[in-house]
Amino acid sequence: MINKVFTYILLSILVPAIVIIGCLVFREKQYAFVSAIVAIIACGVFFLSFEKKEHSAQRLTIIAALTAIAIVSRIIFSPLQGFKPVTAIIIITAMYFGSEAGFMVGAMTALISNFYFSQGPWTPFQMLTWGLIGLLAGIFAESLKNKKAWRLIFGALAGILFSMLMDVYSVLWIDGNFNLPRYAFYLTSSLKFTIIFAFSNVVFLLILADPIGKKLERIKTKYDL
Amino acid sequence: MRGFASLNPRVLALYFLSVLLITMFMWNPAIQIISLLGSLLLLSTLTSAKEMLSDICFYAVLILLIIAVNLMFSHNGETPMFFLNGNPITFEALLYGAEAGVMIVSVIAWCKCLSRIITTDKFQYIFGGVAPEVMLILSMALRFIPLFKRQYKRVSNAQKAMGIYSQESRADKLKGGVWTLSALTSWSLENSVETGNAMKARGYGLKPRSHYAIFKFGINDFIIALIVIAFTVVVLISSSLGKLDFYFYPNISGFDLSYLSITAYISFGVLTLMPYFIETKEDIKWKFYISRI
Repeated sequence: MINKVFTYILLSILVPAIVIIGCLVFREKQYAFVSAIVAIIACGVFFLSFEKKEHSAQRLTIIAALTAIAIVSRIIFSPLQGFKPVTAIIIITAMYFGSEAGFMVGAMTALISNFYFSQGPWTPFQMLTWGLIGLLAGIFAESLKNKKAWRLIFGALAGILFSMLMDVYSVLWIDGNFNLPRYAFYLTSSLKFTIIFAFSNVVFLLILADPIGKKLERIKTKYDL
Repeated sequence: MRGFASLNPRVLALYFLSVLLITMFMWNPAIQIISLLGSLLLLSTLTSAKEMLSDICFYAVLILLIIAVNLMFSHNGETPMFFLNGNPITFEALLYGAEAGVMIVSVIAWCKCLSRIITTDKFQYIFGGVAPEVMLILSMALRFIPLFKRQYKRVSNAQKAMGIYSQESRADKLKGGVWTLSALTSWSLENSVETGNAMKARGYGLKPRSHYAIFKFGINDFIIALIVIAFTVVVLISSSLGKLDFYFYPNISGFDLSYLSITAYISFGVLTLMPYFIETKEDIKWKFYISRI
């Protein structure tokens, strides 16, 4: 109990303190600083709340396995450039195992695949954005499971959201504040990737959701998870 | 790995956190250039000469690209160099772009050093105390990846041997990939639940939880941690008093040359060059001992 109160007090003092001190110290780039801190804290708070709950060993191993599948799927489909099922797998996971698992698989996929490529200032943003996609998919799980059309729209929107959020961060980081013409330039220059990304999400949700979903459902029933 | 990388991972994390924070969010050309120098020197001890050369070429191109983009979008500044389509191309925007480019390149170079030095085992040690379950997922996923890759290879070889999905067309590759992924999923889920059952049978989740780490916190780690904290604090104080402010628009402000700001530059210089010095010292020691044998 004392521990819990202590944590809350620490969080409610520490978080605003970091933000205020950061704004005072990094005068020219306070927006970039605040956005990075918010991304890190958001992931941190989620991870801590995950720690607080009791999880069975099976649930942990399943989350780890789905994360590994998402990462390996990047390698499987690397001959088809830009065409990756990672987001689709995150969405499917969230549909069957809920928001929490969706966030974990999304954030961990971003973190671990960056160990293979390169960690960078983009890591917390990728973690948060992919995590949020998983979280949202978990919230809308029922309608995504029942209606194919919703699933495809969600996949396309997830692709667009991912690109748009990442570009916001690039602008904040280079300019120190939000520069609309530059944001528009980034959006248009990454348009091709955004379209491929959104399209590949739709395609993979179309072909993977049923076979993989069936397997997840079967595992859930078989082992009573 | 000897020298710098053999320090306690928590000290290494503190070091990279401090250097990255200052490099990313300080808007001062001197800081960025010092940081670029430090990161490239450290990177040179971690990579081969050939890889270093190709990295430097990539960084140079990246800086030029960022300058070009900035010239296109920023027409602030008082010193136009020439006009393009009626828009002034200013000297200030050129320098601003160079500053942003150097900043991004040094952050990328630091992150590359970080990836080389803070490997996944150290990463797990750093966060294992705060978030043991998340780190458990991380470590299991890291183990599953090579396992699943091997299984994927087996499934796809079997498919090839049967003569399905072996053509070069995109549709065939996509179909083959999906089929293999689907087969991989059922195998790996089953496998992972078995692992979970085995963990449960062997007492996972019983309290108290213990963890094993091979890293020790020695006197060296303590000294380096103190140095990092002290120098970082000097830079942060100097910055929060406005001594490190630097403006590009409308015209370029000069550097503040008070004692405090010079101390801050020197502190940051020592901070960024420290790993390189530690590495070089170890290198010299190594060669010296060899020559005496």
